[in-house]
Formats: sequence, C-alpha cells, structure tokens
Amino acid sequence: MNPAVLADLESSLVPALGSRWVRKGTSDLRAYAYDATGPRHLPDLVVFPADQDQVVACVRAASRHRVPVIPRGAGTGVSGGALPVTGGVVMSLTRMNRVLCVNPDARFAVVEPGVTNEQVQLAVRQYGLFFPPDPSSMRVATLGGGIAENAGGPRCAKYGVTANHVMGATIVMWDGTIVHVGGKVEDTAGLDLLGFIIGSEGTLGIVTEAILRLTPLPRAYRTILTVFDDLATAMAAVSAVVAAGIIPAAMELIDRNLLELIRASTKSSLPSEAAAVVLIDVDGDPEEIDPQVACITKMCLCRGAVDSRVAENAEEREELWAARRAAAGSLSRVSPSQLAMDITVPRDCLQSMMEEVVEIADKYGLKVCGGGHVGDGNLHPAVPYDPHSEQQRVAIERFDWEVQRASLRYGGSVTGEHGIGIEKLRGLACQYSPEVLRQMQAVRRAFDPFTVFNPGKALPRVVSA
Amino acid sequence: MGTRRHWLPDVDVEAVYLSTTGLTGLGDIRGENLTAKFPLGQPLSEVQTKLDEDGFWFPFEQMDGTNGTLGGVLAAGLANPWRYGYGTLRDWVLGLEVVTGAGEVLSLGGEVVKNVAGYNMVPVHLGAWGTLGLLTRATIRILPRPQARRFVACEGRAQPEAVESAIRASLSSFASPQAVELVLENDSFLLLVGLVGREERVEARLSLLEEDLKGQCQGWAISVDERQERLWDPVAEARLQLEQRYDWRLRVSVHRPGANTLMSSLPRLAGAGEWALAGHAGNGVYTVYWRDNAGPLRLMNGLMSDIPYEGGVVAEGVTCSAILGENRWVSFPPRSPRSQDRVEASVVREISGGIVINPHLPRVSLVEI
Repeated sequence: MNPAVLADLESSLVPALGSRWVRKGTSDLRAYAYDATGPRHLPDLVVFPADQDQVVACVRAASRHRVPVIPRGAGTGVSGGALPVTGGVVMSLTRMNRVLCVNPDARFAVVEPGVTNEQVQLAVRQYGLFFPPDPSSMRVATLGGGIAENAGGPRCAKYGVTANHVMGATIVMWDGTIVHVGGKVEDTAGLDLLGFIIGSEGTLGIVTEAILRLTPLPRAYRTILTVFDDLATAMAAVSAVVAAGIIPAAMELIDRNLLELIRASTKSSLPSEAAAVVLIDVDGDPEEIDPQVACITKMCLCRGAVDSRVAENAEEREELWAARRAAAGSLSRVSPSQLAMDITVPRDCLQSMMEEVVEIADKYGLKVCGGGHVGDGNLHPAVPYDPHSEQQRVAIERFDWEVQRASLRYGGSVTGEHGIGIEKLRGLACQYSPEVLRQMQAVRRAFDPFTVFNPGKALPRVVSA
Repeated sequence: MGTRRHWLPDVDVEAVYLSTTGLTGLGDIRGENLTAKFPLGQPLSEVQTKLDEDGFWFPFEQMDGTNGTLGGVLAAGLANPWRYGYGTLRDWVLGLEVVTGAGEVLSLGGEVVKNVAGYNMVPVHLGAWGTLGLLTRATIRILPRPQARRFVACEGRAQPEAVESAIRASLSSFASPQAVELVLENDSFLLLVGLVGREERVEARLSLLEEDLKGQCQGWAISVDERQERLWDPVAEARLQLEQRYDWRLRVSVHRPGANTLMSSLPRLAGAGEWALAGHAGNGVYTVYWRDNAGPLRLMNGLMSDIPYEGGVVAEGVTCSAILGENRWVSFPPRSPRSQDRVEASVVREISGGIVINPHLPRVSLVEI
C-alpha cells in the first residue's frame, strides 16, 4: 500500500478505534495472513472495531482510498475467504461478540457478528431453544463467518442451513451506509436482499447485527452407529433411507482412512475394522423417534450394514459425536496441509460419486479420507499432502479439479458449505453459465460498485461470453 | 392464471401479454433426492396431484380457494398454513429457470439441498411478481406423502387475551402442530391447528391437542375434524367471505402470535364491527380487513403507532395503492429507508439490465406520512 495512504488510514482509524486496535506490526500482520487453508497473504493493516460506528469509520476510511477491506471472524474458513490476497485492511470482528437480546416468545435472537455459534447455543438453551446450524468448528467459528459462508453442519440434513435460520441483518455498505435487510418479524417488505447477503463471503457488506430464528429444542434424541464393510454399500444405504422418506437430524459418513486417523488422535470407540461408518441422529418427540430408529436400523441392516447399535445414554452419544467432530483436527495431525473438498451431489448419486472419488484418488496415487454430511449429499473427501512436494501438489490439483467436474456431471455443486473463496473460482465458472455469472457480478456491482469488500473472492473477476 | 390480478394495479401501458399456462409437463421427480423439477405454468393443484401419485408432498397448500399456477405462487411469494412447521418458499425452492427481459435463459441455484457456489440468486425472484424475469421452471424440495394430515378446530367468541392464550396453548403443546391458522371477525374466531405425520401418532397428537385447548378454552367448541383432504377449505371459505365483505386488505407481520396486539388496536382504528383478520398465527403474519370509512393511511399509521417497530407492521395491501392515486407499493415502517431502497433499486437495475418485465408494477417506495 502507498505509504501516504497507509498513514492517512492510520490517522483516521486510531482516533476512532484507539491505537491498541489498529495494528501494522509484522507479527500482527502475519497472524492475520492466513485462515484454515494453506496460503498466506499479508495485509497492510489489521483493525478490531468494537461496534457498528467503528466499523463504519473503518469502511469509510478505506473506501475513500479504494483500499480493500477483508472482514474476518475466527479465521476457520476453509476456502481462503478471509485471506487478504490483494493486501488491504483485515477487519477482525471478534470484539463484536455479544448476544444483544433473546426474545424466546417470538423465537429470535439478535447477535453481533463476532459471537461464536456455541455462545449462541448456550445463550438460548435456557429458553428451550437452539440455533440449528452446527458446523464442526462451532466452538470457535463466528456467526458472521457462518452467515458469510451460509454455514451448514451435520444437523442441516433435517433443519437446513444458515440461510433458513436468519431473519434479518444490519449491514454496512461500501460507503459506510447502514442498511437493514429482513427484520425481527417473519415477513418484511421489498425484495429478498437477505438471500444475497447470506453466503456472499463478505463481498457485499459487513454484517454488524444478525437476527437469528430460533427453533424449539427437540424433546428427545437417539444416535445410531451403523457399520459397513464396503463404502459403496454404505452410500447406497444412505440413499435408501432418504428414499424411504426418513429424514434423520444428521447422517455423517466416516470411511476407513478417516476412522484410522480419528482413532489415532482420540480415545474413540469407533470400530477399527470397518470400511465405513454412518453416524445417524434422530430427534423429535419421544413417541416418534423410536419407531424411526427401528426403521433406520432395519433398513441399514437389510442394505448390508454389518452392525447397527444405538447409543445407550447421553455420554455415549456425546462420545460418538466428539469423534466425528475430531475429524478435521485428526487430519491436521497427519499433515499441516490437506485438501478438504466440499462437493454436494443429489442423494441418489452418492454411491456413484464416492466410487468416482476413490477411482480418481487411485489414479493419482492419493489416499483420500472420506467423510461428509451424506444426509444432504455433501461430501468432504480430504487428502493430506506435503506442500513441499511438487509432485503431490500437482496430483492434488488434478484430483481436486476432476472431482469438482465429476460433482457437476451429477448435477451437484462444487461447494455445499465451505464457499468459493479463492479455491473454487474455476469450479464456479464451470457450475454456472456466463450469463448467470454476469448476473452475480451485477449483484456485486449493485452492492459494492468499487469492489471494496473482499476482492478476488467468491466470483471470478471477468466472465467471458 | 391471473388469480391475483385483483391485487395489482391495472396495466396502463402498451404491453405484450405472455401467458405461462403452456408451460406444463409431468415434471421430474427424484424420490431418492427428495426433489422435483416442474414447469411453472400448471396449477399448483396439478403439481400436488402428480406428486401425490408418486407418494410425495410439497408442503404448500393454497387456502384461499384459488387455483393459481406454481409459477404464480412463486412469483407472488405466497405463504400457506404449513409455513409454521415447514417454512416459506425460500426454504423449499432450490433452483429456478428464469427468462430475463433481454431474453436470456438463466438456470439459477441447482438440484442439491446445499449449494453455496456464488450468490444465491433464487430468493430475490420469490415475491418479485415476475419483474426480474419470467419464471419458467423450478426445482423444489419435496417430502414423502404424510400418512395423515388433520386438524383440530376451535371456535367461539372471546376476548383478545383468550384468543392469544388459545394460540399459545397450541404452539406450546407437545402435540407439536405444524400449522396454526386464525380467522377472526369482531369477537368471533376460528382457530385451526394442523398436524402432519404417521397415522397412529397423529391420532394421539390430536387427542393431546384437544385436551390442551380444552384446558385453555372453556366454553368454546373444540373438535377434531374428520376431513383428510382439502384441509384448509374452512379457512379458504372464511377468507373469501372476508374479501367480499370488506374494502381494504393489509398484510401485517408482528411478533408471534400477535393476535392480541392487533385485536387491541383494530376496534379503535377501524371501528367496532368494521374489521377482521385472518392469518398464520404461528408466525404472526396476518391479513387485516377493514371498511372504507377508516381509510388506509389512518389505519396503517395507527397500527404503526400502536405497534413499535420491533413488533413489526409491514403493509403490502395493493388495494391501498389505489386510494393514493398513484401506483405505489407501501413499505412500513421506514427504516434507513433511502439506503434500503437505493440498494434494492441498484439490484433491480443491475440484474434486469434496464429491461423490466411487468413495468406497471411499482417498486418499493414510501408513503408520505
């Protein structure tokens, strides 16, 4: 950044935020140069606003010079969405971490973007309510990040994604204007602009408040662990459960390779010899769920499961889910770098898609760890690799590209919940026609005509006809 | 089909009329993915019939007695009684095929239930009345056909607090209803509480709900309705009668259940005996009906004043626009109005490329109060 511009930014921001919260030291810049992906890009400045007024001050100062602003939550994103690829100002929203109000009667909560998903759950649980999206990173990941990426999680199979549970938001636009979209009531006037904001990866505006729709906690839960000695059989069983019209709260796949890693890094009791396990959660009224459990168990056993057992108590249930959540961490122990894919396919294509993933991995000599939220068709094939090996990097790129293309051939998406970021721009260009991409770019122009927010993310720069 | 034409201003420009009723077909139902893709020119009832034949259900049932197309339902952004248990159209429409004013065919969204590739371009078209593009095909989520759909009816005469209590009893019942519909005129009301699920469980839940309501509603007529088809006919009939008896229609969205709030204000604003309301009590979304002598602005301003913004009031009664003498949609309450409108206008301008379908329909603007 031009030193004069940097100096001008500092002179505006230090009085507004306080010198402690405007940082340009090397260690600070390095700390905010990366997220949960591999690449690193240094910002020019890192700021930590405490409230909406400070966000407005930062945005106005930056946009005056057309300096990029990169909003950031906890940095747990896995698509490069928080990376300052063109430098600029990283705006960390973690100081804005309050649950502002909970209205249990009307079933909504108003939160700041830096609040974690877990904080929200703890704040509303006392009212018998919860916020359904539950990404694996929920203890750390912020709601602002969840809104930016339209976060999912295991419970999305039944409850839907973040977009289904946000009623409204306040956003700061590129010029510091404050806009309210949606509201604290179910219906609001005008076009549905909230639909653009959720999943926009921080490219349309900075969310400073979000109105979350809350759901009554289920009265009962059951967790079933089904064990398969063949991955394809496991996928076919999942498709069969969906086809039978049973919608569990969650259906999670863990294949042999991933099981091995989880067992190595935790004290999990997950079976060691299985080719795949599918962890299935059923929730709802006590009188409803046991027949569902019986039906699912019977269906899986008829479809080739070698074992199926129901967790006997809350502790066992929690232990099984803790093992599932340990998947990402267990991968990191093997290698600091891994390709974490996020394809989604129609649920009647799960078996074919997984077979193709394994085939492509074999072709490039890669060991893929198969996991995912199979209940909604969202697969997370993960491949640990050595970033210093040119051969492995090339193999990874080719594997990634071929799997993305395969998911599109099945009518799927290159990303179900991680976002495009910088990693899947090429895939996005294949998923949608140039006309649709131009429409998306038109939306971006409407919100942020000078591409102040998070440039280089979410959409390709140029779309040729 | 034009079933909502009476909601809209007249066309006062030279125009080409395009009928979508030729966009019909069997549709593509993918049971193992619980999705279906349909052309949008056929009545919703036919879509439901096709799904039913294959053992599926789309939790959207028009309850106003009309038979609009699926495309019309999406374009108008209509709601239905099952929204309490199943959400609105934006939760059920995964993909849209749209023809823009420039003649481009866009395939928006997709066929998978999780998709965060690029911006979600589908929701903006739901409720846009076709102004951003002609909707030709949609991929919707579907459910297995429920074994049973039933409701408990509760009717009588009561004070606002009692009606509110009845609604709350329904919402908090362990019967876990999926619809709570209210029709209220003066102090006479009809509350229909709908359940969906397995046959034997629905029977048990109906009994539980009946008990819960009886506990709250002394002296009211409470009964389990035996009908299994066309559940919402009582609501449809009631609404049609309200449309005939009253002059103005206003949609309001308040904190659930909100009936008490409205019942406390409307007699004063509209005059005793001069108003009615019907709507989705579980969501706090109602249509308020009233007579000409309490003009639209006075009533709307009164509601805005009585109900703090946090409690909502959103007006989208197109009949209101006629009395203003201008084709203007009404947006309440003003909240950062210029910013909101400016962004919306920018979005419309950018994605329509300046070619607007249905140009006679107004954009959101404010009433001068």
